[in-house]
Amino acid sequence: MTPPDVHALTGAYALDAVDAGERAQVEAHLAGCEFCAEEVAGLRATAAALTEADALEPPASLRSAVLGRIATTPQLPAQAERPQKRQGRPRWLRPVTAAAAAAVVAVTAAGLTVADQHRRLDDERQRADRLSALASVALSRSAGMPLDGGGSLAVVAVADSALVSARDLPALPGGRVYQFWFVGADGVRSAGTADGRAVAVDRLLTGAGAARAIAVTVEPAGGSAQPTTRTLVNAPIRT
Amino acid sequence: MRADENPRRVLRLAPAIGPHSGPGSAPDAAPRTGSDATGRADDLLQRAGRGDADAFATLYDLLAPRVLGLVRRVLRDPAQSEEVTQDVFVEVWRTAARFDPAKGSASTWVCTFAHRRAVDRVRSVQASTDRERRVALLDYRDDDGVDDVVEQVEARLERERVRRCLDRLTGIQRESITLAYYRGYTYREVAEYLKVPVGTVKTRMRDGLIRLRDCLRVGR
Repeated sequence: MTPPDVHALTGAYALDAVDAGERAQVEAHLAGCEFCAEEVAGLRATAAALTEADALEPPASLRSAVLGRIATTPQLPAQAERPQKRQGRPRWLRPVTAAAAAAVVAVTAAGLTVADQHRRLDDERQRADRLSALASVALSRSAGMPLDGGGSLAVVAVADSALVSARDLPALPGGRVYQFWFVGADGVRSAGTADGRAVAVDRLLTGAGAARAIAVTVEPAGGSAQPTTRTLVNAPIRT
Repeated sequence: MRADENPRRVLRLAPAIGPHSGPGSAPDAAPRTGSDATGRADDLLQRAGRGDADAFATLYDLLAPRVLGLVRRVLRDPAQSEEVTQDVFVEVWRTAARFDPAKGSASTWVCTFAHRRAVDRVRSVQASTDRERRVALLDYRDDDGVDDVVEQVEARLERERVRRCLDRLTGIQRESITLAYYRGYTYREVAEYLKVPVGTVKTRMRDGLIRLRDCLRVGR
């Protein structure tokens, strides 16, 4: 029912970085997806908060021009909202839209609606984002190991996961990416790639297995199955 | 010139105050400023919606610096920016009764509208054809235009806070957001400009904004 793309567009939509067709598509979707509408409202407020940094004192002539014009500009009445738009009542009192009604039918054993689950998932995701952001900040404060060619890499590993924090990475030529590797007695396995233009990379790498170190190389876009260039750093994760 | 040779160039905010805090600095501990102003703006806009011109004038005084600053960043041309700002506020007056504080704050409502107006203008003016638009994109690279803005009003703390939070984004997140918000690029144009896949840009815009939201502690 929903084009899978629409939800991925919430950020671009909040920044007005979509074309007119996509804008309409997203807005149609928002009317029936409360979860998406909440997210967009938050992202919009975030974008708007950026303007706090750029305030400019307007000339007095602008003020008098605006006030002059509104003196003769009639106001529109408070609109009878389009029926599918949600009302300004608390969330739990809002009328159930067709899409939400479908969601309510799909009540789970735990008594949660799909919408509730979406919200919980989003909360969890935010929590996870915050935790990994915190961990990254903590990690990036440790010295890290220098990369051959510039930048540094700090690593911490617990069980099967490793958090890596790379800083001041030199920009790579087009078509090149940074690739992380798990290095262990069992060989070298890819742990993912990072954009060649990223200055800083914070990444949770999973599937460390028996790896004893994390290495970084420069590879063609898309990454390689095995390293094809020299190792820039080999950071131990087990002692 | 590659986009990343000078990653800070894309977002050239006014001169920094105090020591630079880089991506590794501690989470912002300063309380969110301006929340009183937020509630006040909501109230003023609702009163304006009931025809209160004095409330509207006060709302203008409160928000016009942000609107003008935003529009000017997108459009660059001072005369055009004032013209668009004027239109924005007249439209705010006209539609004020439709403002619903349950859906977001007055300042978000006004800034969202202003941004859309500015972006629509920059897209229609700068590009009657794709080719011209492409040329316009290239021209943008070497002329930032914001530096000559001298009449900065009291916004230093906010500016610092915003800069600090932007610094905490990854390069792609930051560039995707600033190119879109301050330049009016679509995500496709951002992808072309940064030479990264469009899917990546969409994702970075979203997760970058989410990270910014958490750093700035934006309510709505």
